[in-house]
Amino acid sequence: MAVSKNEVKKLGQLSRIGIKKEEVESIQGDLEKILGFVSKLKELPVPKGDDLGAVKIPTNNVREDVSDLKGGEYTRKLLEQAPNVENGFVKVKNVLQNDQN
Amino acid sequence: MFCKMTKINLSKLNIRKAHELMQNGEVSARELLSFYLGNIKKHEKNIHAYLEVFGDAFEKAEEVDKKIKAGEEMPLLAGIPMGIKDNILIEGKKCSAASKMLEDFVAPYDATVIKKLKNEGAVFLGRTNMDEFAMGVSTEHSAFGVTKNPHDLERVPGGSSGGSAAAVAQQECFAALGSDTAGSTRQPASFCGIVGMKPTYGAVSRYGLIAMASSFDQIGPMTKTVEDAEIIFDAIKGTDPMDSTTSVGDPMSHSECVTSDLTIGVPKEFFFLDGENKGVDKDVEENTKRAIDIFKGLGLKIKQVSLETLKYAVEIYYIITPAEVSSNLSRYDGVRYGLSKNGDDVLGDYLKTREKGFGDEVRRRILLGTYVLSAGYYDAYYGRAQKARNLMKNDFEKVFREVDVILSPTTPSPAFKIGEKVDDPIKMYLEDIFTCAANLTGVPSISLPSGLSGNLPTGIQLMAPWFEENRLFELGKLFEKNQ
Repeated sequence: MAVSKNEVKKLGQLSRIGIKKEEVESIQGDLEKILGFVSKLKELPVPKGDDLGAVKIPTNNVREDVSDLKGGEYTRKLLEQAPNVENGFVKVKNVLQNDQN
Repeated sequence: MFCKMTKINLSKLNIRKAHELMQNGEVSARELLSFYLGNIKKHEKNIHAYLEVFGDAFEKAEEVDKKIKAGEEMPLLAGIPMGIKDNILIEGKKCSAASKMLEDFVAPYDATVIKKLKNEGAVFLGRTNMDEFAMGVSTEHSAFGVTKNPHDLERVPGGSSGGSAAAVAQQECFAALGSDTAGSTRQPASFCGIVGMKPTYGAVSRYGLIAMASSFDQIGPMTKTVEDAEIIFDAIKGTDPMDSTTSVGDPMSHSECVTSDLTIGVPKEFFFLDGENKGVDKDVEENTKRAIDIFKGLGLKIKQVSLETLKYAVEIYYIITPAEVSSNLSRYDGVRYGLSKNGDDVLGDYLKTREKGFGDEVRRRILLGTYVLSAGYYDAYYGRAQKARNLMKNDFEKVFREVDVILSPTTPSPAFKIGEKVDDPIKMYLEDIFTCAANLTGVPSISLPSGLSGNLPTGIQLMAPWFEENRLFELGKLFEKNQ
C-alpha cells in the first residue's frame, strides 16, 4: 500500500497531530506496512452494498433525557482541570479571524 | 509481622477465605493490607506495576474493620486490597491512562465499577501501569516506564493491563481490574500466570472507563483464582443507565451448567488437534494439548471446528479499532482538561498539544484510523471490516450451535523480552491473534494458567456464547482443580 509523504502530512492535519519533518518518513513506512498487512482482508468475500449480514443489532439501553445533577454541581471541579479559565469560562484563542481570502 | 498471622499464609488466600477470616476476626483488613503494602515496598522497585500507590488505603481498611467489630455482616469484597488499571476513574484520584496527555488529570467522578466496588467495601491500593490509552501488548507503550514480568524481569508482563497482571502475580495486590479491547486482560494474565477475564460486551458498564474503542472495550477481573474472578465479575456486572451499551434487564444465563455434558470446540484456524501447529510455541502447544486431555478425562467431548473468518481477526481488528480510536481520542484537545501546549493559533494549539501529549503508538493508530475513515478509503477498509466483523459473529453463532465453548491457547508464545518487538507494530499486533475475536464478536472469554514453558507461564483461553459466563467459571474451576 503506497502512502505518499503528502498524505501523511494531510493525515496529521486532519487528525490535529503535529508531525515533525524528520518523522514523516518513518510514519509513512509504518502506515504502509500496517495497511499492507490489513489489506489481506480483501481476500474475504463480503456482502455487497449496505447488507451487513444477518446480525442482530444490539438495542441501546436508553434512559429518560433528564439530568438528576444539581446545576453547577460539577462546574467548579471541571473548571479546575481546564488549562485556561476566565470569569468561569474556558478560554481559547480567537476562533474567527479577519481573513481576507 | 503480626503474631495472629503467623499461622495463616496470606499469599495463599482466596477472596472467600479472606472474607471468612476477616469476618471471624482472625485477620483484620488492616493486616491484610499491610501484607500487600509490604510486598509493594519489597518488589515495586523491580516490577513497577503501579503508577501510584494511594495514601488513604489504611483509612478504608480501618473502616471495614470497624464495621466488622460492630457486628456487621460485610460483603465478600470488603477489605480486599485491589489494584485498579489507570484508565478507570476513581473520584479525586489521578487517572492518566499512562499518557502524558492526562498526567495530572484528576477524576471528577467514580466509574460505575468503582462505585460498585466501593459499596462492597473493597480497598483500592493504587493505579496500575498500562500501555498508553490501552494500546499495546507489553506496557512498553506506557509514558511512564515499562512494567517487568515477575517471572523474569527481562521480559514484559503483557498488556495493556500489564501492571494489574504483574501486581497480582507478585502479590502486590489481592486482585485487580483490567480492561480488555483485544485481549488486554487475558494476554497479560497468561504471561504472568494468573486468571484474566473479558465479560460479554454489555455485561459490565463502561461508564468511567477512559474509552479506547467503544464497541470493543470491557472491564474485567484479574485474579489468582477463577472463583475470585467470578466474585468480582458478579460485583461489577449489570445494567447501567449511564452506559447505553450495557445490556437491558438481566441477560446473564442462570441455567445450571453441568460441565461433563459440555462439548469443547477447538478451531482448526487456531490450533490443530493433530498435525502441525504453525506459529504456536512447542511448550504452549503441549500445555494446550494437556489441557484438552484433562477436559477429555473429565468426560467432556472435544470437537475440531472451523471458523473461516478467524484467519482475518487481527486484520479486521486493526482496521475498526484505529477508526474508533481516532474518533474517541479527538476529545484530547488541550482546551478543557489534560495537557495543553501553546501554538500560534487555535489550530496550532491542537497540533502541538496532540504531538507532545500522545506517544508513538497512539499517534500511529489515530493516523491509521483517520486514513481508513477518510473519503475514498472508507469502503475498502472500514466498511469492509465492519461487514467482516458481522460475518465473524454469524460464524460464532453457527459454531456455538455445535459446541458449548471454544478452547485455544491464549497467546502463541510465552512472555517476550523487553525491546524484542517494540519497533515492529505488526509483530505486536499479532499478539492478539487468539484473543481479539472475542472482542470482535462480543463473546465472553477467560484465560487460565495452563502450565510453564521453562520458568514462564502459559495460558489457555475459553470463549463461551454471549452471556454464558457461568460456563467459563465452572469449566475454569474444574480445570484449576484437576491441573
